[in-house]
Amino acid sequence: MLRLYRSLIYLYPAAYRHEFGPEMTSVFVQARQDMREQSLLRRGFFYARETGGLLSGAARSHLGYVPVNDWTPFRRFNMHRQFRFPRSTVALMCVILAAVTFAIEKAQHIQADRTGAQLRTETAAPLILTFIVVYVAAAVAWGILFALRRTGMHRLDKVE
Amino acid sequence: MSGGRAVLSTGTLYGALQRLLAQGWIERFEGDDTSRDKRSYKLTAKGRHNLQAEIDRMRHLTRLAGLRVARKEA
Repeated sequence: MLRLYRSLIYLYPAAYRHEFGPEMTSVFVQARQDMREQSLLRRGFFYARETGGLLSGAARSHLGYVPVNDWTPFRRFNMHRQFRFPRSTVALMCVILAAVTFAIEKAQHIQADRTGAQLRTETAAPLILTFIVVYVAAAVAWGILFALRRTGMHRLDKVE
Repeated sequence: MSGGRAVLSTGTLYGALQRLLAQGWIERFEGDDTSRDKRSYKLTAKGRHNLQAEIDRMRHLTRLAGLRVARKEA
């Protein structure tokens, strides 16, 4: 089994293998010794878990899965009182929407100039109007909920 | 430490250690026993700070859950 374990470690990238390989093997040998007195079934589970862990670990390390943000290790248990994204995101999204709309508008003007056709519809106005209506409706709805103290944050505070 | 509730394979364990090292939450240090291939790790200041924040968050959640259960039972 140790030979199989060592050969499975070769599935990892070379840098990872050099950094952690001997240490992993050492820990595996110790864990295997601890399992020596256990039943055949438990030992079977142990070897299956080790093999599965090595295969999935090697796949992850090849995919370069090294999350650099702080929330990922605890993603499954996340429940924060703060907003899920920075509030500046809303402003940035508005800027991006305006830029895209302006680009579409500009492209239509260029097309109309080149083909000599009459520009029939304006894209920007309906888009911006729709966006403003939706944004205002959402803001009003949230304001009502906030005034009634029925937002998620308020309900969480009430529990305390 | 977990009383057998958390059982990790070495592949999973060292994947987590690699991530924690990359994030600067833990660092290696020279342990007492240098005869084996095993190395020792300890929390960095950043790791300790993040751990404390996580403990506080979980403590808050368990307190809320306790209050919820107490309210249901009352």
